[in-house]
Amino acid sequence: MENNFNEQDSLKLINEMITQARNNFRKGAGNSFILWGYVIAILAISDFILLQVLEPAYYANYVWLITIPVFIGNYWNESRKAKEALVITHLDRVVGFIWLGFFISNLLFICSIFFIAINWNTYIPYLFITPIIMIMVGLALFVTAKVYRFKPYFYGACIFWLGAVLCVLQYSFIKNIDFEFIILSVSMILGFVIPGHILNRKAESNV
Amino acid sequence: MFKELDPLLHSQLRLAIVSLLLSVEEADFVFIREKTGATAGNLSVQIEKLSEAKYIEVRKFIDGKRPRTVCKITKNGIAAFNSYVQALQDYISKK
Repeated sequence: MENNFNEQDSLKLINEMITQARNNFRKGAGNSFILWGYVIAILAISDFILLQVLEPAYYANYVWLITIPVFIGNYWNESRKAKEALVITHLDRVVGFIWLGFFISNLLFICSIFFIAINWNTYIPYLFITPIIMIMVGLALFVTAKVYRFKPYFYGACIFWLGAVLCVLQYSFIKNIDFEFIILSVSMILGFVIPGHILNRKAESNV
Repeated sequence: MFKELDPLLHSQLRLAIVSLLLSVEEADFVFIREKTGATAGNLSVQIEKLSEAKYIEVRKFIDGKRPRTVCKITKNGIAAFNSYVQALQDYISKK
């Protein structure tokens, strides 16, 4: 590179470098979304099936405990990958915080639901778990889409918001709460797995 | 009177390195080389100069069996870059 260049060249170069960095996605950036998409979709379908065959049916909900080892394994794997990454962008860090915030909010929300349901001896609060979590996923996906400027996550957010509405509607119209797991499963595939694969393909062509 | 352009930044490769690092948290040597298109030798020299001026922080370590060089912009670097852009804007607007 030459040492002598004018002020217009300087501005052009600054702009070019900032754009290069901004449009850069880490290789495998969509992996966590793909993993969680498949895990939750499979668990939701399993829960739906087990609810029909198990007695008492609520034993089926123990399948969700599988998310704990998956969370730990994924966290360990992502931390290892972050150390090996060729670049960590500001956006990666912001998106990491968004999902950490989502996880903490979820944890507090589920604890509150159990606290109220057990203390008041009612199942009603449990009805809110799936739609509210789907609304929160929609929010986190929406912000992620805006930060990354990545449209498929925006469509994913819309799918989760629509899914949450469908969950509430089916409580009223079908009178069978189990279908919420089918809605959740389809939303995970459409809102997490497919955009995750699209993001990975985009990242592959970046680095 | 025009502000003098910082000679350390008014070099194509050093400005490219600082602009790139300004946009990320930290970046590996390989990433900077790919994005700037510079040769490894030239890039090493320029990174060393920026590091001596405390515009960037350089961490060298062994990751498994692979030696790694990771660079991060410092507060001094950000301030120098801002002054450089300000000087550049003054220069262009008064031209």
